[in-house]
Amino acid sequence: MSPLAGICIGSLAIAFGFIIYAFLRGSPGLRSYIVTRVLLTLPMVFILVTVIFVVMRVIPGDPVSSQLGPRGSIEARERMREQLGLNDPIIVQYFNYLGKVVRLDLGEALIFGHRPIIDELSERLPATIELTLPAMVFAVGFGVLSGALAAKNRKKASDYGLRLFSIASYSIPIFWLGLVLQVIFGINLGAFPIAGRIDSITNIGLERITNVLVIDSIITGNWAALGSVLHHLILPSLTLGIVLTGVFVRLSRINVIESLVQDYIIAGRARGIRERILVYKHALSNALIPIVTLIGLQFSVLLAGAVLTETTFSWPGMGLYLVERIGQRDYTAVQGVILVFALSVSVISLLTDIIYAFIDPRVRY
Amino acid sequence: MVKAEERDILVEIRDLCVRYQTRLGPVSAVEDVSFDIYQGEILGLVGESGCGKSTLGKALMRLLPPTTSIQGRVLFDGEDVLEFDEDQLRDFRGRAISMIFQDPMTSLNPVQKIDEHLVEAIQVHEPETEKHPALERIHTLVERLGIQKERISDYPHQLSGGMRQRIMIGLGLVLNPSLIIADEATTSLDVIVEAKLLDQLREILDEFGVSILVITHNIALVAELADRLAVMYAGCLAELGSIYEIFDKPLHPYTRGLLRSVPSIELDEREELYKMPGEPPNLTYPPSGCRFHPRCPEAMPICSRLAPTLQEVKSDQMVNCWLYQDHPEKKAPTIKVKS
Repeated sequence: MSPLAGICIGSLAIAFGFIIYAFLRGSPGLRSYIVTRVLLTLPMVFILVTVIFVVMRVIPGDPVSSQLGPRGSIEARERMREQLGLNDPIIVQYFNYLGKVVRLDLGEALIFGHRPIIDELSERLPATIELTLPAMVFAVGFGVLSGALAAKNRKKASDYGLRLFSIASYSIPIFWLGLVLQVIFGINLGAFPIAGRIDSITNIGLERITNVLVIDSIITGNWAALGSVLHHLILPSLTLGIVLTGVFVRLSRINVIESLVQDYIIAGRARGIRERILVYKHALSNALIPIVTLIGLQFSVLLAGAVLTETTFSWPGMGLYLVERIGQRDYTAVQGVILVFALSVSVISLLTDIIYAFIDPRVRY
Repeated sequence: MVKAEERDILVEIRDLCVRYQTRLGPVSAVEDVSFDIYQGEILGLVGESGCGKSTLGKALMRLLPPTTSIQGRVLFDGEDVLEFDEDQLRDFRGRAISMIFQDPMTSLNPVQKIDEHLVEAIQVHEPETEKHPALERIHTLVERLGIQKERISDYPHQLSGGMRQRIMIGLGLVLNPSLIIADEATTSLDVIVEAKLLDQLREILDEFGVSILVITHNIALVAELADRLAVMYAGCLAELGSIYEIFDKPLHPYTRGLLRSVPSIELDEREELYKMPGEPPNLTYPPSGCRFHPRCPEAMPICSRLAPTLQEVKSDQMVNCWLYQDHPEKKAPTIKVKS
């Protein structure tokens, strides 16, 4: 089993573990909602896969001429078309492609030794996960809590400060913020490395199991490698995290403010409940409902941001790979990356919808 | 009927003034209000919308926004609530005075189950109480209020309006407070549910010996329920006294108008319901002197210059009107009320 398949199966297992947990804990209404929502995901994924197929064949350019160049002979072109199956009727190509996707076979790269895309992605996807997960956790955790803090201290200095920060954070382009952080912390202070995932010397001693280097170094007990990985991770994930934070600060602030004037907060205050608990438990748990929706929506922004962050920090993930291969017209690689991005967005949106229904007892469709 | 002087005073409200800061200037929502709440009584507080009755109720628990200025004294068991710091206030709220709010639909946290509300209320004031004994107390209480104990593990939206209002009452009672402020507590319910709830409220009152301050615009409800009545107009107390005295012989011109404008089943076909002339005043610029004088059918020259004070004119009845008081520009005879 390739590491990519392992990661896909692992994360799907976590997702379905949660769905089953919600299914068992939930009321009958929640259960039927979960079943419907999961069933709805299947046609959605099918449509996504089809759209990718169609788009790859509709956009201008063709893999044969990009590979052979303008000087390839007609015979060579014809041979290659036959080899790649491009001469088959489009419907046959489509079903071949579907059959391959189901078996997690994404084809072979058109350049650089024609490696299977699945092998290339199993090196790249873990790097992207390692970058985006801490960024998202930072953005949601810091964003939501500081939004609640701003709401609690409304119209005080900390509120104004956080609002300024949030506007600034989402109006700054990722690559610019990345460059500034690189200049300040990487070059002037020399505190953090500005490129790559790990020191090359430590890298040699690290055994790759999942390709998520944090996990690999913990599993093998290689603490020097863990230190180096975390050291490399801080700047890029902070860059991506800060850019995503702003929206969460603002949404959380406004929703907590709105919740704080609700009758149940005043009623809670009249029962002598502490202000801190009113803000961080009662108001925030009601404010979380729109925030969960936003997490799902921001996930696509996160992946787009990952492309820019990886390019800025030479982080060898999916985004950098995508940019490289688009430049080299490697259609199968581009198709594979987009497929993985699209699938993960649809799984995440499935999860957020179920979490949404799970935390808000009133939501049933 | 026990005489007022013989009863124990629970809350003593003296010279209470509440001012809201608005863009157009301060609004004096409660002006110089003084009265007592006795132990074990039901005191009705009535008045039109916007007369300051809800503000008064919230001021007693210090639930108004922090920008509001509150002056005067609210003595509860001899301690001034207005002087309490945050900790004292937290301990006081819920345990000494609790409040039942107007809208049971929005006064419960929608993502918290009913039993979690009740357990939380207990544990806030008695941190050493475990969840299980707390739940047992709650079961007894909700069954007493006519709700099956199985229903309290539901979310608020799964209960009917009447049930939710019972839960609000339960939340008000769960810590055995000395005073419950019911702010339009039954307004959003239909009359049948309301009547049932009122019967229950009275039973509970007898059983627990709590005092209740019923804030409402519904005079019929107060007539049914209360021992004493306070009538409020434009932030001031107009009249205060035993319910029998006031309904029998209202003294203040406003109270008289208010009682005449209540529809009665005995009303003659040709007789029209009394409509009080004019509008309640804008409290950013309250009228000079007595705040009722622009609408008062019996206004005298003094009324627009000087505000009268609330004075006892006979036992169990106090009124805030120059008609019953000696005043410096006395031209018309002061009405003497026979006790």
